[in-house]
Amino acid sequence: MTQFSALTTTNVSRSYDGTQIVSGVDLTLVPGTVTALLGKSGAGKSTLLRLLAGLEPVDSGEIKIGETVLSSPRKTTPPETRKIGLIFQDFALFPHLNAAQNIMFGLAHLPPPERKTRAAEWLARLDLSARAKAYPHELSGGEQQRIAIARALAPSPAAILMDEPFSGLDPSLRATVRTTALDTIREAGVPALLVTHDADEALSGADNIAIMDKGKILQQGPAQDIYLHPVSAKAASALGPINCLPVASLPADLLNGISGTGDSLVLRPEGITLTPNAPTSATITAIHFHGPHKRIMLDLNGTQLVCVSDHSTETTIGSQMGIALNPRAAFIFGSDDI
Amino acid sequence: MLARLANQRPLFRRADAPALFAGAFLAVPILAAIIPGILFGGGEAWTHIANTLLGTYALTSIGTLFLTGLLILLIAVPAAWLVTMYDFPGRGLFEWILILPLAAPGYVFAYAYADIMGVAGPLQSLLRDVSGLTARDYWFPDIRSLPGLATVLALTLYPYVYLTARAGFISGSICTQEAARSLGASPTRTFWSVALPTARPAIIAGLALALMEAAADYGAAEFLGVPTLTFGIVRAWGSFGDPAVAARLALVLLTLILTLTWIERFSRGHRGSQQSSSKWRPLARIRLTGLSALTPALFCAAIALIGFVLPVGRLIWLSMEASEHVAPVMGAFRNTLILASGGAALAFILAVIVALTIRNASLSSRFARLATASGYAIPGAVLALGGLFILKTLGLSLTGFAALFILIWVYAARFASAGTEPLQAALARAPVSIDHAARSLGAGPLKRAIKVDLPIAMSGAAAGALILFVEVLKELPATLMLRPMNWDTLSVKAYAYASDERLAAAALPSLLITLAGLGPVLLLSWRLSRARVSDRA
Repeated sequence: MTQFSALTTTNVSRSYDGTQIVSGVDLTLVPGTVTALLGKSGAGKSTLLRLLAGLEPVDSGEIKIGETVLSSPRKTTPPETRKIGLIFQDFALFPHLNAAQNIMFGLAHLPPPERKTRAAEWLARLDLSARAKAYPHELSGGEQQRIAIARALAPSPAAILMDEPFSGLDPSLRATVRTTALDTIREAGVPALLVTHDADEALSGADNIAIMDKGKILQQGPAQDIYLHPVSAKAASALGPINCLPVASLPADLLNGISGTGDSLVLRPEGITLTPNAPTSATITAIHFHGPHKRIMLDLNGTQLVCVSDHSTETTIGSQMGIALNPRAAFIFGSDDI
Repeated sequence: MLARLANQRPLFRRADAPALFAGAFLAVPILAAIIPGILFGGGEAWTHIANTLLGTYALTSIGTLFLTGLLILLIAVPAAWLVTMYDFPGRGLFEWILILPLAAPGYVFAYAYADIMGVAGPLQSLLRDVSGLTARDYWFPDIRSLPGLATVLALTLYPYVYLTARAGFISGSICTQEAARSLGASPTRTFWSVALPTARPAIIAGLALALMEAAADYGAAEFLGVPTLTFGIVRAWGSFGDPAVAARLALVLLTLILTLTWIERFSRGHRGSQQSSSKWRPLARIRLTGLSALTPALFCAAIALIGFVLPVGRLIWLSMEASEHVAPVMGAFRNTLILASGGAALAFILAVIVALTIRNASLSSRFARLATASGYAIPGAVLALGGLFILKTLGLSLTGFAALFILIWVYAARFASAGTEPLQAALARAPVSIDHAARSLGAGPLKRAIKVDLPIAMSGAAAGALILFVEVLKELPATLMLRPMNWDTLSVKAYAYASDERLAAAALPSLLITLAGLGPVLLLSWRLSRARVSDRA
């Protein structure tokens, strides 16, 4: 297998009409891994993807693959010569070409028989051989998605960029399609970027996560590290709901073993454990049933908290319940970080 | 801002060359019609026209446009509202029958109605037979008048507004209409307070198109003896033999048309893009029965009857009676096929080039689109003047076959935008990400144009080519002014017979033009119904 190089951005910025959309982004996409670019809509994710794809020039900074510069303020290698595969939310299959022809589109440099063989290989690999002659409108959403992946990977690109590729799919299909798709892309060994606003998708699908907010990368690293060691309250909240409360209002025994300095405690819901005999207790104000777990609202000396719990502990609304904190899901930050 | 323009819209790229060429090619007849009017149109002949006729021409044109516009609104908006909101007997049929008058050019209806309304025509004969009066004993509306011209033009042009108003009622405001009805507003109140204000931009856009066509009309105005500006332009060229004087008169007409487009822009204001849900879903129509169903059914039936059945039926009747005129019409039929094919082919090629630049934000492509759009706004009579100047500049004879090629050029300049629209619509339906996908797969500009955009645009090719063919076939004044000697087309033949008051002989070519025009109109109504089925799926 060919050795692929990392796709990196160094201090990349882009603004429209004076508004900074992407500012000073440093990002490294490691070959053979999927990096999720996670953020709310308007965070600048799609713009960053367009910069990486060469669909837009950078205002400052540099985009490189290995040692080759793709974008700099002076020069933008156009998308057609970058060899970077794109996968879109609407799949963007060519409506006038059938499945096999869509895959062959990017193989124009090969002699026709080889194009056909390569397309047939990809169709077989994604379990679509029977649909080779079908046109996009005749394919299901999941099939269109797999054709889009095959089309992007068939020309052996140097990297793959995906813009919300699974959000157009039926929720019941999403998880299976996502696993197949991302595994196929990992196997290809190229650096891959998955733009998403769905924290669960980023956590379960990607190897690395980069959290983006207001044009900046807040934190990047392996998914588990980021979840367990957020650098700020904002980074923590990007990966799931959090409780945020002033340290000063809490009894000292609760804070045992929690690292960090500052005046705010950030707690994931699973960071609160219901312990009937614990010294600190809170009042249960509401209970929401969620199947495997329940979501419990607590009142701790006037501060509202959310926690999740399995069904092993008996809970009733209005009763007092002892609580303890799990140091692995609780963090202390300075108030500036919130 | 300038820096950004420079960044994203380079002045010229190699890929822009075709667009630049197409734009320049389309712009030549337009500029050739405008510039001589500014530079050479003065002199004694102009002073004469300016002192004696210009006021009449201008006021008549403004009056005709005003009355035509008013009539169109009174016909089209209620009709569109009724077929969209209510269910009554015949609704499904009326929904598409009301589009049909689009097939007939104004002059054809002018001939048909002059015959129907004439002293010897069926209506007055019937009146005399029933009442026992003689022609001198009663008043009967005169079709050969400004209101007559406005009526004839309104009857052929109202479908523009009917179509846009219906689209506005269906898509622009479906949610707000449903909300209004759920809040207890009656259909009447929903119409005045919700539907009409939201559909207004669509209605005005349709009206602007219709009035542009009305301003370009020569055949109907000439035949009914109403001295509009377009009528004056052709006459000035004929009687003074000086196209420059006519071209200066054309400047006045162009100013009027420019004002119309400006009013349209202005009325859109900040609501430039109207919100519409991309999904079409059937609006729950209010079912009418009994007497309450009678009024809308009668209203629509009356429009269908007056706007299509009666004039076309009369033309069929007259053609069958005057079968001796078939032979000369056949020669004209052949000439029409040649000219319409040539004009449509050239316009189509240019339309394809311009349409493919749709995703291209370069200045060249904007220039090409501007040239295409301007051609459509300029009446055929004015572009024909441009053609005459080109002939004169090249030192070519007006009677020779060179004129035929110039005529085809003028057709292309006038109608390329009509052909561009279905192609661009097909391209616009494909998401922009398709273009990005092609780029990421290594396709350069040429390959993208040929392998991706062209095949996608071609789904609109049949419609585009058909529309172009029929538009050229219906065109009268440019053909009349530029065709070589004895090279009559169907429209010229109909015009010539009608000018000699041989309406029976004019009926057959008029009927053939209308029948040809039905092709694209039926295609249009079929596409409208199909678009809904696929959206529903």
